[in-house]
Amino acid sequence: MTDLAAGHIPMMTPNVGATLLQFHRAGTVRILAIAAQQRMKAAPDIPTAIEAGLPGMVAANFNGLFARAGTPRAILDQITQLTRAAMAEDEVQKSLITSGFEPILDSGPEEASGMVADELARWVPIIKATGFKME
Amino acid sequence: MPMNLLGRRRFLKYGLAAASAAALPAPAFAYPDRPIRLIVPFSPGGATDVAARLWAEKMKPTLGTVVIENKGGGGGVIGATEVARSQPDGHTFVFGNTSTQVLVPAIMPKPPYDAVKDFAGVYIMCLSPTCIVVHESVPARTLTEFIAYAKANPTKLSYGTAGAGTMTNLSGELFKHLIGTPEITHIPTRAPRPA
Repeated sequence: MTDLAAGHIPMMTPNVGATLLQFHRAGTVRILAIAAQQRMKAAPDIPTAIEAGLPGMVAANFNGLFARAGTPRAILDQITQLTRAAMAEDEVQKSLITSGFEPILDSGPEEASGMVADELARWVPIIKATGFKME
Repeated sequence: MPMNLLGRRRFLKYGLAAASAAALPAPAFAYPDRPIRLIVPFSPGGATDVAARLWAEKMKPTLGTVVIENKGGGGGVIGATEVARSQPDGHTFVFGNTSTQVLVPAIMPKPPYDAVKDFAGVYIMCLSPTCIVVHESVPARTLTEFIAYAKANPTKLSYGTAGAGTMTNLSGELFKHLIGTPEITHIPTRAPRPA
């Protein structure tokens, strides 16, 4: 981030956090677009890449709970219910937004597994096309 | 079965539980019956860790203690593998992310787990989007202007990330792929921080 702010590198594709938004507000750097389906609660004035003319430019990290396959459905449902109740609290949402996250209020077992399937379907061809390698 | 093999205490616990479960119409298991473990597959102190601790704190009144175990390493694969091999009894969860649940298993030649078959999704708590950001000296006010500039000057451009193999790296590669400028150079600016 300091390399970008100092002009040593012209461009970055980082996660959107508080420090980056400060540099953006100060005019040192310019966030041209957010790589997400929706605008961010922490920066509602910045357009998504989709809005700005580059459909497909969606690259967001998700965070969430996963259990071992075969865990009883009643347990998954109970955890989902408790997590939804927690996520409905303002204080929880604020705390996540401050840490640079977009809280998700209506997830669950289908949504979580669906997210993995969707992301695999989206990234595998890109990984192959770009010859992307792990460090 | 000889009692010394099964163990008297275990027989009393599981044998009687099984007997009473068979006799009752409703499920008779108590959940949870011991502290829940939440494996955070990254080192402590990162944003992922903050979100995981917040969840654990909120579960405490109903589920009791949630023990957080930070098991970093291998892009999160070490911690996630432990959950992929745990008992499917709801007492072990991984606070996974796109790396552990999607990218690492897709990229590794021989991943230690199957992202789809070995896990049950429970809840995606939050997203952390990436963005396209340029230094103020770059002559582009909008994304459309920047795409035109990048296509005209691809060899002049480089982009920085938190490190090779991270989502920020993939985001940059996606951008290059979408606008057709493979010449833009990737510069890993520093070692990856805790996710």
